[in-house]
Amino acid sequence: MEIVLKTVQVEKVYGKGELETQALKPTDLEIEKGVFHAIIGKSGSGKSTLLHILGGLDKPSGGKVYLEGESMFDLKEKELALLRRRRIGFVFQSFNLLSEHTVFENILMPVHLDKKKEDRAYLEKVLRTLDITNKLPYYPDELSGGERQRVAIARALAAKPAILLADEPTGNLDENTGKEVIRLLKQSAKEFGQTVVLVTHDMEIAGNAERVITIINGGVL
Amino acid sequence: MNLREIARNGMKGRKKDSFLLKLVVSLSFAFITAALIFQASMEKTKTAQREELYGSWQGAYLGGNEDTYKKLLKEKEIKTVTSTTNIGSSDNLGIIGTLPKDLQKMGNFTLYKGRFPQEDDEILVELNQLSNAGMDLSVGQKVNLSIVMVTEDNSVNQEVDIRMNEAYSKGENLVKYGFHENPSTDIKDIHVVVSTDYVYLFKSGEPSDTETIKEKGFLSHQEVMLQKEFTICGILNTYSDKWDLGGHTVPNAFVTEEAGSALTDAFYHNGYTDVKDYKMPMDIFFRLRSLDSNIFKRLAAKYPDTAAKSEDLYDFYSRIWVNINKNISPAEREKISKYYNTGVSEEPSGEDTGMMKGSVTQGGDSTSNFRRNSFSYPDTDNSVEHMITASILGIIFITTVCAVFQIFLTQIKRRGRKLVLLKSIGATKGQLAGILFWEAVYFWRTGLVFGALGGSGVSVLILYLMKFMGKEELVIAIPLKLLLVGILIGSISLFAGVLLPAVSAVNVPLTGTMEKKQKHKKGTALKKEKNRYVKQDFFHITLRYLKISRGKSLLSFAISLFIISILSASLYLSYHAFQRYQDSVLDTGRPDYTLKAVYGENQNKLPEIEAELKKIKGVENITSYKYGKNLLFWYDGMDKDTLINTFESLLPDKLKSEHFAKYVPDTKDQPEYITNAYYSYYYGIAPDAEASKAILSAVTEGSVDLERFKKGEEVILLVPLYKTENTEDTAKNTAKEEGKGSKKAGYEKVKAAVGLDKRFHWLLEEDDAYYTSLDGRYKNLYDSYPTIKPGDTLYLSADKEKLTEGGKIPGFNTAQVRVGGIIRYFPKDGVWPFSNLVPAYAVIGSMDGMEALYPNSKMGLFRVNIDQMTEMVKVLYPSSYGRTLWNITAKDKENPEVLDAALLSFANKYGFTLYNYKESSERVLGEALNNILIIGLLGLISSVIALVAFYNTAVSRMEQERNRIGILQSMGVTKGQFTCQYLLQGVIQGTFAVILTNAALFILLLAVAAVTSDIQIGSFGTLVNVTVAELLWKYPWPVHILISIIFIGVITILQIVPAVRIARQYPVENIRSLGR
Repeated sequence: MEIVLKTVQVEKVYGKGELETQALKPTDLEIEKGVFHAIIGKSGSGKSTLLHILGGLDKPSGGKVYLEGESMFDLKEKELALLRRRRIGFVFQSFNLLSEHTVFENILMPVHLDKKKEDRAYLEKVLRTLDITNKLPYYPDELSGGERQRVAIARALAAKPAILLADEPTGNLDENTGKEVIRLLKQSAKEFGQTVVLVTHDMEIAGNAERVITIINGGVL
Repeated sequence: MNLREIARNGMKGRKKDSFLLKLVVSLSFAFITAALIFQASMEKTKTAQREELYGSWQGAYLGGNEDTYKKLLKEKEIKTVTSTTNIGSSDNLGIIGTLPKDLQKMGNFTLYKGRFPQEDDEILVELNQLSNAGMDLSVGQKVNLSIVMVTEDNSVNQEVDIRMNEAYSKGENLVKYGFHENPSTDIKDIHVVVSTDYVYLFKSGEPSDTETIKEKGFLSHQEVMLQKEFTICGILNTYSDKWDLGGHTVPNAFVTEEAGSALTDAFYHNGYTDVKDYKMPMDIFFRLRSLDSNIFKRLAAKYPDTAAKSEDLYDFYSRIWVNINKNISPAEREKISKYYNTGVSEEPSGEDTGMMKGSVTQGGDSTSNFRRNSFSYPDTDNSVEHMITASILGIIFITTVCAVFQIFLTQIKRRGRKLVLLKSIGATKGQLAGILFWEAVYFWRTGLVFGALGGSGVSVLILYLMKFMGKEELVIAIPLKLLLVGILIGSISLFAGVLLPAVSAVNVPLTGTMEKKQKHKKGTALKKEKNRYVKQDFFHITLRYLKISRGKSLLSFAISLFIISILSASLYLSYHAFQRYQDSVLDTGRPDYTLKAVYGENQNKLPEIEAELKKIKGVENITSYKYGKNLLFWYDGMDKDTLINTFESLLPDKLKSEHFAKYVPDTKDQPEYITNAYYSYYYGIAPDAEASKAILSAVTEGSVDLERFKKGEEVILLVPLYKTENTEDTAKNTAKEEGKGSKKAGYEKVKAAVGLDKRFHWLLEEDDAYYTSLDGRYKNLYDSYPTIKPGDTLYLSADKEKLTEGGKIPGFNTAQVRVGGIIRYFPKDGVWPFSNLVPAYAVIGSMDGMEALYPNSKMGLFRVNIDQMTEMVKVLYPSSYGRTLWNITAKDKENPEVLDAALLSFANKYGFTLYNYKESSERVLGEALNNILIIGLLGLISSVIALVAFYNTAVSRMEQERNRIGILQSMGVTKGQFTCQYLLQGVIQGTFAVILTNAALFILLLAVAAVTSDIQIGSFGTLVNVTVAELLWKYPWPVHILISIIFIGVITILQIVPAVRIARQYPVENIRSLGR
């Protein structure tokens, strides 16, 4: 299998001296292309920290992360930003949509920020898949939680990233809506051949994944 | 835990927030104390400088005596009294006086060289007096003094004439004998000579021996002369022409009190004549317990002037007679007699010297013996300094209230949840208010300790450094009372600023937040549907955000607007403070000194005089002019000249003869160009001289043919711009009301207001008829008078002033000249003295041209001396000898005393009058710079406080934007893009604030111009022109632009710094939901 993302002895330490806390122990991990991965672990186990590092949102204290063979944290600040823009899609637990923009504008934002023309056919397919075509002119605060998360997934998919990272995407949703979001996420991944890494503490959700990575006390099993 | 502890612990937990508020409060207190200490120190320094120049005596009685001194000693309000006894006057060193220690101290005498007298044979001489006497400026020289005390000086001529006439009418002939004796003696080292003059009338045959003459004759004059050799031990910096003496004289040289006593003893015990009734004149100086003007008024009433001895008119004319006796013909003598018989009841008007009000050379308004030292201690109740102090307190108060309000409100909003939590566990509104009150008290305490004490300490340290490094003496003053008021105001501003946010915090609801939810316009969503694929780059994303969050931007915009308003206002006020110096010195090109001769100096001698002047150390440049007064000016069509006609009609009858030939008997039966002429001036310049180029280049209309100009065939005319105050018709009607004179100013007022040369301008304006000006600022506002133009012919004449046995023969020198160029205004800086003149039709020609009309001015002094010339010009030949002016620019600013003295000595040597403009110019400049310093400090202080508030707002805004920044970062927005966004945002906000402030400032100035200008404003264009001319003339636009650019830069940086600090972080640090 082709490896999209790879970590070599990646670790994260917070604080110094007596206050030092190792959130993530040195970890080697490989993410396969087109596979739906789930990282599972208890609250505070370091799974989100690992996901943030994988997405270039946080800097590891040590080790390397390779995205499609390129060492992410050896890049300059601007290059890393461009990498996030072009090759990583991120779905947050609390959606993190920009409230002053409509749903459609939120979805198109990663594409337009890159000054690229959007692939309309692809986008419309994504919108249809996620069933938010009729929600496009609305503002995020006019939508329900599930709808917002679907918009967030659409935004993450819009730039056709190499990898989609989702951090507890159902954490702020009720059970049924959560299930629906996971279903759509899985469907999208399948539909568009998308590599997905999902963080959750819910075993049932993790059950949807093709590969499950377990993390306990900062260490990957 | 009580409320105070909750407040204190809470503040500990919010270190950053608390620090910011403590910083603002401390800065506010620091700036209040610093500004007040600086202001007080500057004021004290100014007073010290004034005291050094004009003495630290507060009051004086000049020309008093021992009795006055004793009486003043008993006054309760007077703290210290000292005096100098005027022993007498000497030919070479002026008035000799005694120098008690107290006077030395109270006079703030400073030495140019040497030391104060200690021995009986030592003398301290004033610098200008030494120069005047032609002596070296060195100590150790021996000088033989002849000190004269006139004990009797009786006017006997009239009495003698009466007695002679009485005897003649009885058929008797009286013989007139004059008798003079001058016995002398030596008393110790003082040689005493008593000179006495008698006039004795007797019939032939009667005894006329010495005893009889002394017994029966008139004692006309008696003086005691004390001769002694002194050594000059020191040279005193000139003070006598600086102090507020109201024309009274003070000693020019000082001896010790002991030497003074020896001299007075020798005087009183001269052995020849009893002079015990003679009271030595004394100048008495004192300091009061309080500088209350009422005390002065009361004391002044108790010490009236000594009865002035008016000079006997007969004696005055006799003196003239004797002086010029040898040089005038019998016809002229007869003419003088005629003058005497008719009497010269009115003193003719003089020219304006260009001295400003408040200039020390004016010698104050009062000439009374009892004097207040208004130069050292001017009445400052309504002074600019007091206004500035009030402004400092006012502006810092407002700034602090706004800053504290803004910062506290921001913090309270952030603390909303915690306050709700306190409420939820049962805290009452009163308790919440109590916590916030204690927080304010802690801020106040910090402000007091670090701000007030720190500010005082730092400002005193800065002042000490300035004192240590600067050349000028700096007085450090700590105004305790004012500081207490300042601290009180600072405290009130703190609590006032806290009040409103505290009220809103106390009333925060238990559910919800203090933040308002973002609103979307209705229908926007539907509209967006049509534009689904609208391209949105980062710029548009930013714009959208700014548009939606404009409420958040509004506060920082308001603060930035406040800052640029303060800066712009400070600059404008500084410009305004500089205006007096700009108007009176720079724009007029006023020299440092002017020398004036009452006659026209020979052209060949002018270079010699200039060369001699240039030898004086400190003289940089000299320009010579010759000018003639009473130039009879006429041109064809002058009878229709509205300006001149209006001026004539407004003039009081008694003054018409000073301006219009038709009112002078001598011009009767003369050609029209003489009879109907208007009196003007003819200035002769050397066309090839460097300085003349400025005049030639100032020609605004026409051009000058230099060859014809040199020959006197062509001239330049000064025709000021004019503007009617009323309508043209009203002005004409005013002109038609002939004989009625000015409606507003009577004879006394017109005569006293300004000099002859400025009357035209003053009277037309005073009577609301016309404004006239040579100032370039009015070129777009005033009109050019059309009746005369280049190429026109002028008839210029001057009275020959020829006196014969039969009296004066009317005769005039006349020249027909062509108007080459007209100066309606000075396009650049003015040229002195023309820029100071605003009569219409002053003529500038060549010196040859001037001499053709005033031929007597060719010869210089020729056969008479300067005293005789002065008397002749005063009485017989007021204009035909012309006048000469030398404008002098100084370069030696280091040693002005020596230059003053040298030029005064030069002036005295030649009998010229010296006008010292330098001192008053420097004083005006010093005042302007001082005010600019205070205004600048005030502007800076307020701006810094506001900038702190602005920065806090920017930080607060960035904190609110942090989540959005994080989200955008997660989508790949780079740090550079964020930097660009905030750069652009800062520049746009700053530029908009600059534009708005400038617009507001301009509107304000337009309104001020509309209300205050006397010019009728008919259109918006005129209003703009008036504003530019009167309120923005030579405004420092480059500085204004520079300040605006710096402001935009600072505003931008203050926004970028917190933004970049956030954008530098990894997204995980910024996205709220991911924060640890």
